[in-house]
Formats: sequence, C-alpha cells, structure tokens
Amino acid sequence: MLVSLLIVVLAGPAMAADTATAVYNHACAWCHGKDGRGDGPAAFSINKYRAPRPRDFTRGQFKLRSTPSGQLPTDDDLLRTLERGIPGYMPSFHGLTDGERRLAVVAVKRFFPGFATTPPAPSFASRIPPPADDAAVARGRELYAAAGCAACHGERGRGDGPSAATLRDADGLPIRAADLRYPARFKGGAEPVDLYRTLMSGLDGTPMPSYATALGDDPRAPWDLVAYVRSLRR
Amino acid sequence: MRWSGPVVVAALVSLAIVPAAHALPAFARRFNLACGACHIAVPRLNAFGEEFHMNGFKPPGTMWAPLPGRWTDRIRDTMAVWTRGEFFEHSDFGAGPSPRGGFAVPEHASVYVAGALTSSTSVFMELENTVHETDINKRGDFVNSDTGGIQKGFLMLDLPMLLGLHGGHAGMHHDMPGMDGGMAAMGEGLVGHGPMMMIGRVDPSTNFSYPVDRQIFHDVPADTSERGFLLRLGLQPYAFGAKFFGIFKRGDHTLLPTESTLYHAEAAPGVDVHGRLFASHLLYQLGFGTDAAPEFTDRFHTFTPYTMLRWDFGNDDGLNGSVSVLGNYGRDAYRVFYLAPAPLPPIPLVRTIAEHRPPPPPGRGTIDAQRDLDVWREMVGANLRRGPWDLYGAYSHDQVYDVPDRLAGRFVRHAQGLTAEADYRLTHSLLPSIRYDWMKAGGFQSDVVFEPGPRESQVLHLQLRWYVFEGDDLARVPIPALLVLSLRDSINLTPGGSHPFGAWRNGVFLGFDFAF
Repeated sequence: MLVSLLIVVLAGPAMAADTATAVYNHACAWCHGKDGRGDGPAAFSINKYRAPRPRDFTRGQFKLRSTPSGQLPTDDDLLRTLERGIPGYMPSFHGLTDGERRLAVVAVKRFFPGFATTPPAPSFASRIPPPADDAAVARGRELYAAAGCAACHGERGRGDGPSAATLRDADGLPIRAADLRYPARFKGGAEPVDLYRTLMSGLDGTPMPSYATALGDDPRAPWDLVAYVRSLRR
Repeated sequence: MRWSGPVVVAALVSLAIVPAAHALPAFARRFNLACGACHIAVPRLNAFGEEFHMNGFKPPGTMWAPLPGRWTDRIRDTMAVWTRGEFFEHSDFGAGPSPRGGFAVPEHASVYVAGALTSSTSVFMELENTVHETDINKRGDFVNSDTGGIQKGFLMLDLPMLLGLHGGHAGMHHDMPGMDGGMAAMGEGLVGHGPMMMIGRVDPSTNFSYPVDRQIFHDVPADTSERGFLLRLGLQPYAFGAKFFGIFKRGDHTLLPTESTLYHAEAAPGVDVHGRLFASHLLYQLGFGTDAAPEFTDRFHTFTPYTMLRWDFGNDDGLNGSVSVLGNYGRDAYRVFYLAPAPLPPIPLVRTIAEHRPPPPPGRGTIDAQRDLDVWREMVGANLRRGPWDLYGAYSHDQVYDVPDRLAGRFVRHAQGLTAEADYRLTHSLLPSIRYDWMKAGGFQSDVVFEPGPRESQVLHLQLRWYVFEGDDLARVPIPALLVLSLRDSINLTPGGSHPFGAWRNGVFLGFDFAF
C-alpha cells in the first residue's frame, strides 16, 4: 500500500499527456475496447447473441443522435448518452465530472476521422413540444397505423408486431422492437423531446428508420405520434 | 432438512409475487442495467463488473455516484434479496444407504445492502442464512446445522481520495477548472487505481483469477447419515478447500477437507488493501483475515496474512484473461486433537533436590491434548476468456507446521488441490459448464473420526444453467429480477468403500438462483 501511495504521489507531476485517452481507457475501454471497436474485455457478455452490443466507434454509425439519418452525432449527443447512459446496457457516467465526460467525447471522436472533416450540426434538438391533448393522441393513433409502426411495435405497442421476431441490426444480430409500455427502457430517452428526436433521426444501424419525411409536412404530426406513444405507457 | 416439493414451490411462488416497481437487483436497479452489463454469467463478473466492484460499487472511472436523494430510493436501489441452492437431489451411494433423493430447502438466502456512501467510502452488508452446515457434536457424531447472521459487512475506502492524494490528470486542473479527476494517471500509459481498503468482515477472493465466491456451480454441502456418519464430503472447489482430515478451527469446530478456508473463507474479520498499477494490468492485494471460531477473543489469536498478485492481459481483440499467484500464511489457523502421554504425577520429597528426577512410572497412560497448527498456502490461478468461452482454474499446495511429534507417521503435512472449469455461453440463455476437481488430502490418514480410505479424490461435474431471465426482458417478465435454473450431475471418479471420498457414486441436482 505504501509503495503504491508513493508511486501516486511521486509520479503525479509526470501525468499522462493524453488525458482524453486516459479517461477513455479507464471508463469506456472495458466494453468499447482500447481501439474503439466495441471489443473490450467485457463486450461479449453485454448481450452475447443479440443487439445491442457495445458500439464500434470506428464505423461512424451512431444510434442516438439529433442529426439526420446517416450523419454523425454532435458533441451534445455524445455527452447526453454519456450522462444518461442507455437503459439496460450502458451505465450513466454522470459520476464523472463534466470535464471528464468532455474528454471521453474527444477520445471517442478520434476513432472515426469523419468527425474531423465534417462537423455535424443538430437538426432535431431543442424543440419545444406542443401541449398533448386527447385530440393529439387520437391523431397520433392514426399516424401510428398509417406509418406502419405496428409492424414492429405491435398494435398495442407491446413490441410484438408481425415483423418483431425477424428484426436484425446492422451486424445481423436479433434485435427487439421496443415495448412502448415501458418508457424507462427507451434507449434515447422517454421525454417528448427525446421521442421526437428518435422519430426524426431514426436509430442508425437498427431497423428503426427516420420518419423525418415519412410523416408529411405537417409539423404537428411527429408530436402527435409522440403523444400517442406516451399514452401507451403503463 | 428435507421438505416436500409443494412447500418449495409455494416458497418460490411467494418470492415471485413480491411487488417491485423497479425490480432489478440492487446495482442493476440503481444503475438501470441488465445483469449482463457486469456479469459474464451471473454471478461471474466480466471485466467491467470487476472494475465496478473494485471501484467501490461505482462504474469504472467514476468517483462520484451519489446515493439517491430520497431514503426510500436509497433502500430500493441498494438492497436486494438473493436465494440460491439445490432444491432437489438424487444421490447414489456405493455403501450404506440405498440411492436416495428428495426436495430440500435452498441452502442460502441472503439480504444485502451495498453502495457508495461518499466519493471515498462504500459499504457492503450481507445478512445470510445457511442451512445444512456440517459439524461434529459433543458425542463425536457428524450433524447438520443451520447458521445465520452477518456474512459480509465491510467499509471500502478509496485511500487516495480519502487522503487527498489523487492528482487527477495533468492538464485537467489547468485547462478545465472544477475537474477533480477520478483516476490515478501516472505517466504515459501508467494508469492505476486505488489502493482501496476494505475493513470489516471481508471476502477478498473476488479479485483472484478464480473468484471462488462467484461460482457457476453451487456448493453442495456434505451429507450425513442419521447415525452421525459422514457419507459424502461437500462438493466444493477442491483447490480452495482446507484439504486436511481431522483438523478443527479454533473453538473446536470441525473443518472438513473440502471446506473453504483462509483467503477463500466466505468472510472473516480482517483488512484488505488492493489496487491496480501499470495501466491497470497489475492487480495487487494484501491483507489479513482472522478465520477463526465464533468466539470473539479468538480473533486475536488467529492471524492469516496474504498477498496476491494478478496480471491481466489482452484487452483488445476479445481474448483476455489473467494469471494470479497467492501466498497465504495462517498462524494458529487449525487445531488438532490427539492423545498425549499423561504428565508425571507429583512426587513428594522430603528435600527439594533440583538434580534428582525419579524415573516415570510405567504405563502412566495418555490424556486428551490439542495443538494449534500454522499453515502455508501457495496458489496459482488463471482465467482465459474469448467470446462465449470462459476457462479458469486454480492449483494450491498447503503445508501445515507444528504438528505434534506424537502424530509422526499418522499425519501428512502436505496437501494439494486442483480445480478447473470451462463455461460456454451456448445461447443467450443457456450456459453449459464442466468442472474437474482433484485433491490429494493430508492430515490424519486413519483415526476414529474418518475411517481408512482414499485420501485422493477426483470429481467431474457437468451442468446446464438456464437463465430464464436476468433483468433484461421487461416485456416478458412483469417482475424484472433474476431467475436461473440449473441441472447438474456430479460424478465421483474414485468411488469405493465407505469413506466420505468414495462412498458416493453419482449426484444429480436441480438448483436455482433467484434475486430481486
């Protein structure tokens, strides 16, 4: 113990130059791997045979974004994921300081060169949701049927639609459609703005597409759908 | 203690109807994670889970994981109930009773509270009830008994945080005011962690390459006959067993050769210090326990210091593992009872003449005597993981000291044990496992308690565990929790005679783990 304490004290001035990597290695590499390929020592046990597996940062494909489908996430998107975690699969790192989380984001972005060449711009962030009333829920129910949500999520939102059993992610792993009765398990968050963001950006790498154009030109439409989804919770 | 099947089913049902709005066990509930985030297969930890444990029950790299604000949330998010064990057994015996089987209550039930109190302190408290423990009564018969109380209970301190020695990362304080830095970064690539200190009733074995407190196979207790004979020793990892026949703990409690002891005792009052160095590749651990009898004052008599080093390798390509070495000394850890020559009777003399000693009278007889023994254990362990494979094993060599001269030729001072296991995650919910145990036991080779027979044993265990749910299927399971069912066959490779190593042939067990 004394030896290690001495090492901590004496080596303090010679700290690592790359602090972002140090934070990443200490907090993220267990699952995402030191090279960011999603193959850390704990990766296999996190859903061994079905999605979601730890993200492979080198592919530049991210689920949780406020940007259009196919684009990279913003820093705030990555920070939000770090701070909130992903229910069931990734812990919240709100126990890291704000500065440490920003360093982790720096490290994550290094794994994909696209972050340096094409800075992403948010498209679906910071919207103020309109008030949700019964009429909005009714309109949302119609949209839910018209947009084909029930194919995966089921008529009653239980994640048991006719396609649910055949869903695969980009790696070919079986993936479950979300059971809309349990918003606490939504990967992108359960608040109206979170659901709106998920609807509009889609979850890249999964069968959940972006509905940014599929819902038409009515700006109320996605919010109506959000109101209906929120009405399904138990 | 044997109960009928319907009682067990009723007990399971009563557990299953406990209402729980957030029903993942403790840590999973608090951090909103499925079991797989920290476990290869419950209860074995993956690398993330090991670091979570080492970090004082907080996500790796995180110093601050404050407790929930409301006390009701604190209880809900730090407390869990766990019960596990075999609820059905069918065993074949080569001698003595005919094959027998039946339902039984599960061996273990525990309630535990764990979590971080502050950035530098964490607490772990486990109350456990264990049935079917085996001991010797005053008549010298083996009997089953129940035990309970505080199993583990310790404070974990992050010493650098507590003492203000964490420097954090260079540049943090300059570039980003307000950052505390939770990690010890010591030069390029030299990132460490800790040292952490555990004080209280401690089980240090979580850090070894084969963490015996996180087995896929349940321990099966020893089996005794109604007449007080030991039919079968416990089916426990032999490498971690006491490995000597005829020894006792202080306080006259028998210590069977297969029972865990020293570093691998389930929990004992002591102090443990551990941490990581060299980019977290080296895990060091040192401390001491007092694995002794329940009498409190005996704690000061028995002292079992240990040192363990573990080297972790291969973090990048999915192949990873570790190698561990352990040295463990136990001062006055064991006790033997034997017959010693009776002392000389006092002979009255008219005058005290120091030089004069009368010869001992012939045939003066013997008396019961006892002697405390020291023990030294050296041990190596290894673990290799890749994809669905998880291989691990350990070999130990024990040697006792201070054996009375009177026992020369009857007491073997050396013993060895080997345990090797392979688990393969066949599907998301099926885990077949195979384990091999070998022991060359020491101690009394023949005495009144253990009849003559083989002191060497080999056992092969086969098991299939079905993870019915492990906190990751809210839609299917309205009460999210952990339920695992297991079917196990333990085969004695050295049967013969009526000795507890050889009396039994085969055992089939149905077991379960349930937690919420």
